[in-house]
Amino acid sequence: MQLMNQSTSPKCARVKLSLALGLLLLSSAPAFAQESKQVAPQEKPSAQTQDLSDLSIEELMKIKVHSVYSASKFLQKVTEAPASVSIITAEDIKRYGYTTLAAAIRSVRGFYVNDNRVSSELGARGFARPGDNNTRVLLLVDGHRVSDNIYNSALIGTGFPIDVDLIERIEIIRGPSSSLYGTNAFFGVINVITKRGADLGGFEVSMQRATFDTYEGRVSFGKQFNSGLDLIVSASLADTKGPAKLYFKEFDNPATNNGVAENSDGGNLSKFFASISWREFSLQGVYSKRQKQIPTAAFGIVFNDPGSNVDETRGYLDFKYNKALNQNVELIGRLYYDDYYLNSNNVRLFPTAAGDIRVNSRFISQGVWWGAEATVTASISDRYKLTAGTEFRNNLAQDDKAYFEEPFIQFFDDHHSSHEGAAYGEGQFRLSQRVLLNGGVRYDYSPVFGGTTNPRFALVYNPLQKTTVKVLYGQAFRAPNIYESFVHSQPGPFATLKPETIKTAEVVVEQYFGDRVRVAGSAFSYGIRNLITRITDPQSGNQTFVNVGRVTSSGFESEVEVKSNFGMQGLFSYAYQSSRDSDSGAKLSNSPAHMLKLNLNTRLGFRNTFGGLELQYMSDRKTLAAQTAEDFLITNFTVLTQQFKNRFDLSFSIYNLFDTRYGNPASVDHRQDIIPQDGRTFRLKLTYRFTGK
Amino acid sequence: MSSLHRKTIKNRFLSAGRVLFALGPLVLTTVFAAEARAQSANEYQVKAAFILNFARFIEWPSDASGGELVIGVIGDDPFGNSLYQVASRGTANGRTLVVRRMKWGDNLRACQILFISASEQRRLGQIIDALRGSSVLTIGETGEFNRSGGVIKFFIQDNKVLFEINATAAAQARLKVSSKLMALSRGGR
Repeated sequence: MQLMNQSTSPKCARVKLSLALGLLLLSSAPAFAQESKQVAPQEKPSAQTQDLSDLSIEELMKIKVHSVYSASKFLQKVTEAPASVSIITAEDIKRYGYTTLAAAIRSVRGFYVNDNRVSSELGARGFARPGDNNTRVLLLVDGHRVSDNIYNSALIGTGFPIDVDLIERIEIIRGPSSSLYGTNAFFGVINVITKRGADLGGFEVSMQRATFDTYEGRVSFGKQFNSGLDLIVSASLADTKGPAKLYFKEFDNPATNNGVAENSDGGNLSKFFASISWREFSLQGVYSKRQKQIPTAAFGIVFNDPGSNVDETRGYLDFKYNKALNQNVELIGRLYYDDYYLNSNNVRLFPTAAGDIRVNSRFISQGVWWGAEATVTASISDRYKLTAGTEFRNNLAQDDKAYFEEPFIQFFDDHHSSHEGAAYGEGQFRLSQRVLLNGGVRYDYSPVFGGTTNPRFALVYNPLQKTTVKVLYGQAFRAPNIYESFVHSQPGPFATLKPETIKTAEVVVEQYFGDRVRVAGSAFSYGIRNLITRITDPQSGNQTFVNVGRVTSSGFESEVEVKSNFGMQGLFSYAYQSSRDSDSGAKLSNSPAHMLKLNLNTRLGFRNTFGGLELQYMSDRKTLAAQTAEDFLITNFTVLTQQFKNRFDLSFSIYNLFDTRYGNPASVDHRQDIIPQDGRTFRLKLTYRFTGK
Repeated sequence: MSSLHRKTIKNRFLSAGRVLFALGPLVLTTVFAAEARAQSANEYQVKAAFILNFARFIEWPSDASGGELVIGVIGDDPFGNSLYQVASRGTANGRTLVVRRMKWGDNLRACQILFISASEQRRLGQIIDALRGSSVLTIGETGEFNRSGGVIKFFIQDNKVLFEINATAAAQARLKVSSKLMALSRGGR
């Protein structure tokens, strides 16, 4: 049946080719027996290259080790964390050429990212309703909430306020985490940990050139002074023209340039980051702005108008106090001030008696908020660790307005403010040498949605030294964001929108073979209630949001990670899930049943040169028009040379190596059903470091 | 070859390709599982390697030298396989290394090195007292370890494993710490 199908064979040819590339990478890694002896003494230490027993003390003191911070707000080994955790390091970001946080998340088991050519939408465990604003995964930077106070959107694409080069590691914690973090920690939490001045040790300048006339530059300075003061400052600028021509078949008629949007997919961004820490105090300031043209004519704007764009700014100041009161008790206090601004500037057709006229239309959202948080962690004895905390947030402004400039017509101009408070506690109890019990609960209150209590339990069992079994159950919620609560609802007091809730049960098994191989498997099941859904009110004809919608889903995931001593590491994952709308029994849109991911990295012939191969396969997804966004395999490849002449890093990346054509399901705000994605693109990146040593 | 024949062969390749892709990780794991060598930036692997180095750069008094060098671990064992691997692969000044699990009540003086796990925090004072006068190199990682009389304390700074040596405790145990090791010992926070 499919034998004659043209579209299948090129795809499978790519699978073959990708595999061949993978095997080529494997074979280019030098034979390990000789390598470890040659490499051991002179090489700059890297944990991938040698047996640690052969390293000198000085070298051992330079190796970086991992622990997970977020899962329970206190440092824990990954195996003990009451959740399934994935970590992406700064080294991974360099070796696989990730240009954004979204690109790094794409490599993570069970997660997927859909780009609609304006923003990047995050999906987890088969749930990613097109147009839903990334509200169901909480995004943090060093524990600070990045999600804004109007849409509660996790800005993971170009809107992510930190330059990817400043990321020390990304901790992805799966599962409901509202018991610690409150709203939006529905499917998980992503905590991005930034670098310290000590990690930079001087100046760093980086330049990038990529397809579509993309340029990016960064200057950073970081240092840890003898007094213990740690400082890091960084500025980045980027600009891209985007593809000169983009074709959308839904607009293919002479009135709309035959479906071609010309010079309409460009953008630019600027990001500033500064962080100072000294002893118990740290202060972090971030400012990021991005501008992106809208090529898809989303939200009914005029097609092929290079003047249509979205302008998004995010800034914050975060002050943290972290003190060990004594050997057993730690206190963390945080005070923050945030700002978010979104301006969508475009052209619409306005019908008048004299025919349609073009009007400039604007949609502006502005959010300002501040908050405070305090957490105490105490080790009562070696067996008990308790955390208790409280959080308060005051939304000074949550404003939205929409209007036409000329003739001036104001559609709405809403000003809101609100506040919310929460208290949470978590305990970790070591029942025996092999069994750890973790339980937590958080109560959130806001006049907007009332109160909600969310617990989480985890049992971590080590039947054998190298085996970990986790049994997890948790509840999480997503409060309606201000936009859902007020903008499109009936006039009156607070809208009666309730939070969405999710209950998840999960079993995770992790097994180490020797010290080089880790295999993990997990099975989960979840049910969502009171899903906030956009509908057209039959009486008024207006769009509004209501709590209707239940989803059930179950799936399983497996992962194999291998790290050898001769510089090769590999991570393979497979995720299967099935998610349905409980009422209709229909499968969800934009929900791929299968996802396979492979990340392979190896030392190439030359010293400090690495090759990184990434394969990502996603199966068919249903679109809103009940069509199919076909399955696809993306191959990315990066060659990286580090520490060249002790100063330079140079990398060359090819993304979508085989020029696969694929698209992502669009939302109700698009006339398109599928948004086509880019073909093959390249990037060249040079980083220069001067440490003054 | 007819075009249909060609297409059938191509499809056999393609399905083989699919199978190979799925088998890929199995191939990877068998290839590497065959080769033994530690790696991975795992905190306790690094600490195990440190302990091997401590054994090499510290001299025990003549009545405690010679024979096997016993590394005892008391309390919850955080090392997994790492300490055993390190011990089986290395020697310290001609002595072979042996790892033994200890518990409170055992004869702790039978060890030359004793790693005191964080789970024994409450009992730390008693353990140090029990070892008074002996030549046991005590290693720990809890905050008060050195102040309580422990000899070497591990701590983490900027995600790197570092250590602090209590010179007085070392002298009391009649352990001679090489000057190189002392120089690398850092004051912790």
